[in-house]
Amino acid sequence: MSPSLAESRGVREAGADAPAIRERAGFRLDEIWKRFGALQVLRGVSLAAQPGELHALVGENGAGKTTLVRILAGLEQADAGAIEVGGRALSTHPTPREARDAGVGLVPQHCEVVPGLSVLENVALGGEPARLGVIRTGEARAAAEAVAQRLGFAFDWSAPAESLGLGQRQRLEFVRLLWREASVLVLDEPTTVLTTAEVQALFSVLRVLADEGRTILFITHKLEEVRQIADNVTVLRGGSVVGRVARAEIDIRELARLMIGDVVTRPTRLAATTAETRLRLTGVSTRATGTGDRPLHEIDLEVSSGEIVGVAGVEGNGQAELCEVILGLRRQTDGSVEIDGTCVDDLSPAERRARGLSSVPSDRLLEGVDGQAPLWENVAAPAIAAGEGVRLGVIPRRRLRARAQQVLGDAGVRGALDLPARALSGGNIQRLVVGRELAAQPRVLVAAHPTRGVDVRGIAFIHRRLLEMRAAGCAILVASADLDELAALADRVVVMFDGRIVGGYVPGELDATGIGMLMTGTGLAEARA
Amino acid sequence: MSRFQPAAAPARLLRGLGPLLVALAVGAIVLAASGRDPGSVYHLYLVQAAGTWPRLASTFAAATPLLLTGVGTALGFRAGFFNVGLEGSVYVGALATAWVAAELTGVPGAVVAAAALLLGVAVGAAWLLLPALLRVQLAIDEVVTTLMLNYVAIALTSYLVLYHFLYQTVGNAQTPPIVHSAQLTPLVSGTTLTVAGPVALAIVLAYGWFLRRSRLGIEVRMVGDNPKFAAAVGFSVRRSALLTMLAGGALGGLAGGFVVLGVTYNFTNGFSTQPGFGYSGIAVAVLGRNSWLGLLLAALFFGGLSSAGGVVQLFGNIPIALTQVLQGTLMIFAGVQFVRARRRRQAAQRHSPLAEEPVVVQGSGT
Repeated sequence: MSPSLAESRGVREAGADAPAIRERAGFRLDEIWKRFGALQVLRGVSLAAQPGELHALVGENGAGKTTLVRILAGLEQADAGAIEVGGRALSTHPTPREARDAGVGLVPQHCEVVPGLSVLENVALGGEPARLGVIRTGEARAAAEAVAQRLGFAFDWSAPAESLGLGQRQRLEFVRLLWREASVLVLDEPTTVLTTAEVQALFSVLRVLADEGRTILFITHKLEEVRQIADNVTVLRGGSVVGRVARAEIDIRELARLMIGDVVTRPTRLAATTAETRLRLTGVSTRATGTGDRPLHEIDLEVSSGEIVGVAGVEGNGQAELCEVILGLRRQTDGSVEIDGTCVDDLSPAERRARGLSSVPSDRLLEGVDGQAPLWENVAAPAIAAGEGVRLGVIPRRRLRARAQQVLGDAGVRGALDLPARALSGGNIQRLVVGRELAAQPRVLVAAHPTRGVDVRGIAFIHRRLLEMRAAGCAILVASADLDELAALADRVVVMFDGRIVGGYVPGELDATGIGMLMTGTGLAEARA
Repeated sequence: MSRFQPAAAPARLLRGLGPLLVALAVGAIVLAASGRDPGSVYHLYLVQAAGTWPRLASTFAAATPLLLTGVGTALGFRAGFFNVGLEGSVYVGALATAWVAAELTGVPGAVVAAAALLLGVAVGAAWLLLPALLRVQLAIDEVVTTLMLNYVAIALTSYLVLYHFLYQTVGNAQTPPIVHSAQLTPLVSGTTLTVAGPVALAIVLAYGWFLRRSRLGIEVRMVGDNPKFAAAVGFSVRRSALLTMLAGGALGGLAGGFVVLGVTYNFTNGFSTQPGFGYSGIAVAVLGRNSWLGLLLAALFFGGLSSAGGVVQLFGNIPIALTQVLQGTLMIFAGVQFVRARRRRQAAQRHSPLAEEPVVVQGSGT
């Protein structure tokens, strides 16, 4: 049995145990090599961090960051190299369990929960305090609550875990790991699913954990975050370390140059053009389906051609449901959706697509691709669904493949046409999805978190394409947790809170405090768009 | 970077072969425990299943209905619908075929056979219309409805034969023999391999082609892999469910019809023997992993077992129970994999609003 009871006590008295944590913290990766098939992902990477250190690992998609941290967590085995945690060497090919027992805890980019179990059961899973085989729920709850409070989190412990949003799942993962006394915390792009306010909360939590003596290694694409919080930075490019920078010497432009070889600039906003309304929602409301989704309340929204409207808000306040209603994937109980002045309430997703609606879904793995299908079929899927060029039920395979090749090339996706989509990295899948949706020359585009988890160059590509579509007269709705992204793209922004549009602003005309108040529901109806 | 490593081809092959090897190992233990030499018994099986052209033809003949029910079941599985109702379609399709082929006189035999099969196919498909509609309209679990309907079909055909269509009761109640000219002639004398064999083979190949090259086939695959994505790009989950379940029923009806026209020449109650053509089709689909080649190999293996089983019993002093042990072990594996596939599917659907609101996707679009 795992020493769960002792552990949970330990968590509660973490302050007193700080020296013990410090002794088990710190890690060293020495000359790590890893190859996947023909791809040499890591070329002798060495990386070390001290107890109490916040270490940032930056690099483009495909630089080898995720593989490196997965090796540290025992989820992949290195071809060569040595791993040391808390001053003790791990075996040559450590198992996930060995790494975990040594104190390594990984918070993945997309935190999974066990559906059907409660939030508390998810925390305690595998380490339940028990006496004579009977789980002591009260004790588990108190211990979990203690950890959560120390981190400043609040949970409804008995709620079904699948009802948690992405940000909440990440917090749950933190509670799980601290419950297990992890001394080396590894975070794979922890901020991609968070809003600005949540990021700040996460950073203060990370600072507390580091001050307790834990070592924290986090992967990020956002250089501003690196400057804000990292003690040391390691830059990976093409599987090798190309730079190591200490806190005092962090220079964002220099880091960006190290990462990709040239300095990136954000796209500038073009002058707004005005034209006819392409997308109109009037009084749209939905009911919750009991799966943790949020009902919408009387949403009124208009997007004109040549306009980008941003949807800001803390994750899980109805943005996803709003997008689904527009796309026809969720039925509203009240109100109507119009595209080009025609009511589309009774139209299927396919029929709405045929009217020029496209979408970049927020969860690209779940909604953006068929992971088992080859790349070319994923690109061609909307055309196949619409029956383009289909004769006697047979698809025009050669033509579709040629077109897919071009779309993938334009989107900068590297990979053979017949490669299954799940073999691509998250950033490349997003490029595929964006490339496919824009290739359809949509009249209305709904994009949810279009650049989440995408590297700097990918972001620049996606933003440029969105602005080109805007210039071409497309009406674009962008939901994003990244306020900077909305500032860079949107002509105006509406803010959602608790399933309602509670206000709006024009980027640059409302400061962070004002936006933050709207997003947390404290400054309702301050500035309607 | 790639976080996914495609399973190497040998590993995938091994996973498919795994259940087979375990079944053979279990059989070997049973044989050794009863004082027989497993090696020589298996050799005898192999010789009897594929040693000569006529024996191979027998194996192919025994595999024919399993190929049809295997493809019919795999179609549903591929679209993510766990249609296990082909056993029922086999029964109602066979009875419909037997009725037409016995009653329709005064036209050429080929016309009788074609009309009889056509009705068998139509009735087989219609049999699964209700569970298909319940699935798409009300999200009622198709496993329960299709499975229960199998028992309804067996009881219903039994009633119809006894009270409306009885010819004689020799062992089991039987319908009158079909018109002689409508009987399918064996392609290899001494076997029951008829034109049904090549037709079934063509259907398996067409199934493989359908999934790769046709619009509906890609729809079926994408709905099966990721219903939320499929719906978002404009495929119809509803159409896939209806299409694959009805086509599955049609293939079940065809399997039953071919057995009547080429093997039994009438409808006999309980003709689809343990474990039943439809149920074996589930095992074929699961063990063949829904791929056309896998289906072909799995069906031939089961066909070989049953064609060799009887002969081995006669000549090798091996109880037929051994054949049943092998079949049973494979069925257990198939059952386990079936449940696992279903769990995965349910987990995927939990995230999908379509799972809770099946009526959201409306119409077929195009």
